[in-house]
Amino acid sequence: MMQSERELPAGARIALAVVLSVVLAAAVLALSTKDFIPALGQFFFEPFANRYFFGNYIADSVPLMIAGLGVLIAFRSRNFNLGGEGQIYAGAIAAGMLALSLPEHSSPVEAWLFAALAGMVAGGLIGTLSGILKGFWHVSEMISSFLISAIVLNVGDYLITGPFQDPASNFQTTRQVSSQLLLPRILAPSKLDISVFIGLALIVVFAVMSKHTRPGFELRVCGENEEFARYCGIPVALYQSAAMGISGALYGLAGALIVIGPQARVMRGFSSGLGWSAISVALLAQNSEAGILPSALFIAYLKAGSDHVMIGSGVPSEIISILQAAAMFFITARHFPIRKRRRP
Amino acid sequence: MIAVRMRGVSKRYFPSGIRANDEATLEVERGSIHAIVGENGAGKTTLMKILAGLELPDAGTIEIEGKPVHIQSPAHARELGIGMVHQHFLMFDDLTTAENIFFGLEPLRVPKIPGLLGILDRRSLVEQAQRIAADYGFALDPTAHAGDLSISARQQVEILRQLARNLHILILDEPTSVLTEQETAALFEKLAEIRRMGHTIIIVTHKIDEVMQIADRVTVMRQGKTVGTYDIAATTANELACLIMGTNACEEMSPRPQPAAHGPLVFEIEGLSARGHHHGETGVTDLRLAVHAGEVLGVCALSGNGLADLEDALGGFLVPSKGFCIFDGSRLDFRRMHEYRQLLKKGAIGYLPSDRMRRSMALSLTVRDNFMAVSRTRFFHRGWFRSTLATRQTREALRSFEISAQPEQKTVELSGGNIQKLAIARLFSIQLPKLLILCEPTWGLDIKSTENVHRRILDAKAAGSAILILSSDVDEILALADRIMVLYRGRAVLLASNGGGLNRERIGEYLLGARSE
Repeated sequence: MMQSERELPAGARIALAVVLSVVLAAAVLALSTKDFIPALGQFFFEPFANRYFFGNYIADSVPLMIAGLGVLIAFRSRNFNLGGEGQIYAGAIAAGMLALSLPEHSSPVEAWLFAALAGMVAGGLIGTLSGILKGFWHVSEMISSFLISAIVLNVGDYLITGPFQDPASNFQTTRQVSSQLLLPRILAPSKLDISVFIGLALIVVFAVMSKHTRPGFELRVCGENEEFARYCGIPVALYQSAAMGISGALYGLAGALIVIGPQARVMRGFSSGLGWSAISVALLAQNSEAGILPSALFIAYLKAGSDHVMIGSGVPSEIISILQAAAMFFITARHFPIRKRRRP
Repeated sequence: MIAVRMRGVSKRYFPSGIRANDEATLEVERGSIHAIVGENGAGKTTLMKILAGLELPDAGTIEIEGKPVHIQSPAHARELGIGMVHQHFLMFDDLTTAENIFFGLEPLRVPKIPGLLGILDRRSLVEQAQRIAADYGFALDPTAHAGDLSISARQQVEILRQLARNLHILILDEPTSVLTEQETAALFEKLAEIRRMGHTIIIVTHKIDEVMQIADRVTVMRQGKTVGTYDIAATTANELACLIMGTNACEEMSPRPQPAAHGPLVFEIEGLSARGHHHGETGVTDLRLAVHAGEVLGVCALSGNGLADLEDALGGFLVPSKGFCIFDGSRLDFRRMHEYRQLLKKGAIGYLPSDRMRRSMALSLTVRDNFMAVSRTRFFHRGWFRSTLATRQTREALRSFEISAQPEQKTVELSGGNIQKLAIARLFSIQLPKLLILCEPTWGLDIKSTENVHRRILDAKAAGSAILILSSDVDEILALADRIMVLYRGRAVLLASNGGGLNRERIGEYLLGARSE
C-alpha cells in the first residue's frame, strides 16, 4: 500500500550536495560571463592543468586539512570553536617571530620544530582559555572564542604593522624568513611543500586516536551526552578544555606552517577567511576524520577554480563567494532529503 | 459501531530489519475504552503510531468509522478525529496551560485577515480553557506555565489539547507509567468521564491490573502480531498474563523475599541535607539511613518529596549542604563530593539512574558504546580499544537479558523498555558492587522483564550486596524490600520492616503525609 520512507545514507547525501553545488557553479558561470565554455574549463580543469596550478591547489588545501581537523575535535566535544581566524593569526605571528629571531645559520629542522611548536602553543593557549571558561564557568565557547579572536586579530595587526613591520617593504608585512629555514618545496615551481605530509599524518593520527583509544572514546561520550559522561565518571570539564585547546593548537599550527612555508613572512590579514573555511571543511566531513581529506580538497578546489575564473574570465570575486556559500548551504542542509527518527 | 478497524498491518524498520508489526489487526468499538497490552517491543506503540499518522505502514488497511482511509500524516489523522498523547509529553514549557491547549486554535480579537498576523484574545483564551477543563472535570490553572506543572497536570494538558481539537479517538501511550497511585485513580475517573461523553479511548499499557480496572475490551499483542481481543468481563488477569507472555504455564508472580539474616553494615548516612534543584522538589532534610550486606532497603516517595534529590546526592550529581556517610567502615564527608564520586567511579557503588533517556544512556551512541562506557577501562589494553571483546561481551549481555538489539545498533532505535534492560544488564555484567543504588529499576518494563530484574536484584542480595532501592512504585518496594522508608517533604516519616501490618494502603497514608512517626 504505502511505501515507507527511508533515510539516504550520509555518503549519498554528501555526494548529492557536491553535485548540486557543481551544477550551481556552472549555472552561475553561465549567467556571469559571456565566455561560458572557457570559464567552465578554467573553473573545473585548470587546477589540474599543470604542475604549478596543481601544486598550488594542494598547498592551499593543507591549512584547511589541519585547521579543519581542529574544528572537528572541538565539534566532538560539542563545542564550536569560532575563534579560528584569531588562532591562525596568533600561531602565524608566534611562528614568524620565532623564525625571525633565529640566527641565520640555525639548523632548519630545529627551526621548523620550534616554529610549529610556537604556533601550536599560541593557538592552543587561546583555545584552552575558551575551553576553561566553558568547562568550569559555563561561558558559551562560541561567544568567548569569537570575541577573543577579534582581540587577537587587532593585536596581531598592530604587531605586524608596528614593531615587526619590514622597514624595506611597502606592504604591511614582517621581514622575510630566511630561505634556508623554510620547509622544503616539492612539485616546484608551485608553492607546495612538505607540510602536506604533516596534514596527512595528522589526519591518520587523529582518526586512529578517535576510533581506537580511550581518550577518543571518552571525548565522543562527552560530546554526545554530557550528563551521561558525568555518570560514567569522565572528567567533562577537562575534556572540554582539552578539546578546545587541541583545536586551537591545530589552528595555530596551520598558521605557523604557512609562515615557514609558502608565505615566508606574516602579512597583515593573510588568514582572513581561512578560519571560516575550516569550519566548512569540518561540517562537510560529517564528524569523521577520514572525511577531512576529501572535504579540504573540495573546498580548496572551489577556491582554486574560482581564482582561475576570476583571473581568466574576469568574473567578480563576489560571485565566487555566492557560489561557495551556496555549496555550504547544500552540504549543511541536514534535512534534505527526509531524515526520520526511528524507534520500534 | 466500529470506530477503528486495522487489518493486516505490517511495518518493518530499516536498516535493522526489525518487524515491528506483522499482519496486526485491531478493532475498537466506538465509545469504549480499549486497552492494547503486550511486552516491551510487542509492537503496540508502532501500531498506534501508524493509526496516528506518525508512521506509514508497509502493508495493511485501515477503516475509520467504516470508511477506508490511508493515513498520511498526523495532520491527516487529526482530520479523521484521531489524536495521540505520547509517553513523553510534547509541549511548550514557556507557554501557559491555556496556550498549550489551544495552540494553533487561539481565539483572535479581530477576525483573521489572510496573510496577516492576528491579535490574540487572551481573556477568551483563558475562559475557553476554563470551560473545557470544567467540562471534563479537570482542575487546571489556565495561566500557569506548562513548565511549572506536575507530570500529571502536564498529562491533563495533553489530553485537553486533543479534546479541544474535537478529536474523538484518543490514543494514550503508557499513560500511567509516570503517575502515582492516586494520580492514576484520578486519571481513570477522567477517562471514564470522557468515555461517557461518547469518545473512544485506546490505552497502550503493560499493567494488567489497570486494564482490568478501566478497559472494556483488550487486545493482546506479541512479537508484532495480534494474539486476540477479549472482553474484560470474560477474562482474568492471570489469563491475560499468560497470553502476553505466550506461555501456557503461568506460575504465580514473584514470591515475597525471605527476610534474610543480614550481614555487616555497608553503608550509612548521617544528617544528610540537600537543597532541591528540580522543579518543585523539596530537597532532603536531616536524613539518616543504614543498609547492611544482604539487605534491601526500599525508599519510597511521591514525586516532589525529595526522592529525586536523594538520588542526585547519592549519584554524585548534587553536592549536599550537610551530612556524611560511612561506606565499608570509612567515613566520608558528603560535601567533599569528589571522594564519594571515586567510589562510584571505582565500581564499589553501583548506581542505576531513574532518568534513562539522559543520564543512563547517550542515545546517539551505539548499544555497544553505551554498554561499555561505564566500566570502560577493561575494554582498553594500554589505552588501545579491544573492540572484539567489547562486541562479544555486549552480545552476551543482550542475550542473557533478552534484549532484542544488535551491538552496532544506535541506542535511540531501542524501545524504552529495552533501553532500561540495557542499563540493568550493564550494571549486572561486572563484578557485583558492595552497594547497589537502584532508582526506579523497573519503571516502564513489562511483567517478564520486571520479573527478570527482580530476580537479579534478589540474587545480588543473596550474594551479599547491600541494596538501596529508590522507587515511587509501592508494589515494587513491597515486593523487594526488607525494610521500607517513606519520605514526605524531604523527611523520613516511616522506617519499618516489611511484613506485618505494612501494606499498600498503610504506606499510602505515609506517602501522602497523613501519618508520620
